[in-house]
Amino acid sequence: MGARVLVFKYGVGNVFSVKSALERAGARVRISTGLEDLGSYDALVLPGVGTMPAAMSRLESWRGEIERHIDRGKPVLGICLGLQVLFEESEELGITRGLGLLPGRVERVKASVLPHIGWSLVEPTRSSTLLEGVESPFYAYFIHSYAYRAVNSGFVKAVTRLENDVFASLVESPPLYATQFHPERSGRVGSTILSNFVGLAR
Amino acid sequence: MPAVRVIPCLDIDKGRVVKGVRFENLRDKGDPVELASRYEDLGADELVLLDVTATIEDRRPIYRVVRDVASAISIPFTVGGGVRSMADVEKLLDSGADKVSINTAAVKNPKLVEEASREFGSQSIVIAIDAKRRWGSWEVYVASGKKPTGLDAIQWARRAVELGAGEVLLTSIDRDGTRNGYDVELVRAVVEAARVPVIASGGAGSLSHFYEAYRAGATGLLAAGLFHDGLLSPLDVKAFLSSRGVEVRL
Repeated sequence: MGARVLVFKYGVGNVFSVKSALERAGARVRISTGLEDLGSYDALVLPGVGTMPAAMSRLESWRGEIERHIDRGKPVLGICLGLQVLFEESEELGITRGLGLLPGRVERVKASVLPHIGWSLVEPTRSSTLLEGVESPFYAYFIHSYAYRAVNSGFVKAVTRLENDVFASLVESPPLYATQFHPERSGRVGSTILSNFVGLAR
Repeated sequence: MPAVRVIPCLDIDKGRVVKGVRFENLRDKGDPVELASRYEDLGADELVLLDVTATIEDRRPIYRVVRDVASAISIPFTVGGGVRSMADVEKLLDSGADKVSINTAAVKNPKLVEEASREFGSQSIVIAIDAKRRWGSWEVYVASGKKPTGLDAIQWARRAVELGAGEVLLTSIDRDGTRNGYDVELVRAVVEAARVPVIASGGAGSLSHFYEAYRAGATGLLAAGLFHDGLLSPLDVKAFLSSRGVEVRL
């Protein structure tokens, strides 16, 4: 049987394509608007929907459940905004406190044209579990304006350049895994990354 | 800048892909899910699905087609046509659309762009502008190019971006389906005004047309008829752009 993965719909937006992609990667997936049943799942996915303040207003009340999941060593995958909420704070629409599972602040990308929409190169900088079997560098699909820019942090495993700026495109601090790009919308490479994550969940 | 995106557009009428000339004389081009998967295999970077008759026939958006396409492909896509309310936007995103484009309803009620961008994030809201040349400028048309609005396309693009739209899908009605090339002056003017990514649409007929739109500043290059008819594939276009030194995802 495939790993049981809970996709937490903590905001408004597309989570259907995340669910479809995880199912293609072999997982049994449920979308939920609450985390009361998280204990019976092997892995948690925080998809990339909405804005930081809206997301945190719904995530805040489930902080305890998320921390318990992590304490049990079960993996979490954050996608796009789901990466950003892992940090201590974000400057999107004023300073918003995040889950604080990773140190540091999410900032607006320094580029003349934002949002950053489209396929950009992901350059691995340290060895990564999610990128096993992925040829690098590779193109992935991004759609965001904010990112974690302190790319020298040890948990940053890949970076992406935009104009003269550089930001984290993949972070890993087991059991936390997160991508600034959308693996569910990044073609074959994205499917490999999701399979690698689902593999961690059994 | 991210790689330039080549974007096949599926105009949908009653669940089928169609294509016309200057928004008229729609002809059947196939099944949306089949075409979407084929374009992914042929190197499409992104897709646009537009229900071209939803607004004029006063129908709701095409949720079932969106869901089927979303489960079949692993590249992003934008959906538009008949989007009138926050509930429409939310339901399309819920059905698997990555971005939602708003056209007629944005002109009638610009607040919708503002509210939708705040709630769903600018990156999910695309302002679709259908523009027609008029003397030295371009006028915005709505209802599938059937109704003039008196709005200047450049000013409207700037305003929609101020309201929060994260991307502009810019179609030249004069060029649509003609294969005479994009209206590059229109593209250049909107790129300068908008400061968000601009998708050029209407008129692609040859490889060099794509390059011209890229040179005018478009980061998304949309085409429909010439892909549907198999004259060129997205891969052909990207190989050509790459040979001209343009960054593409190959």
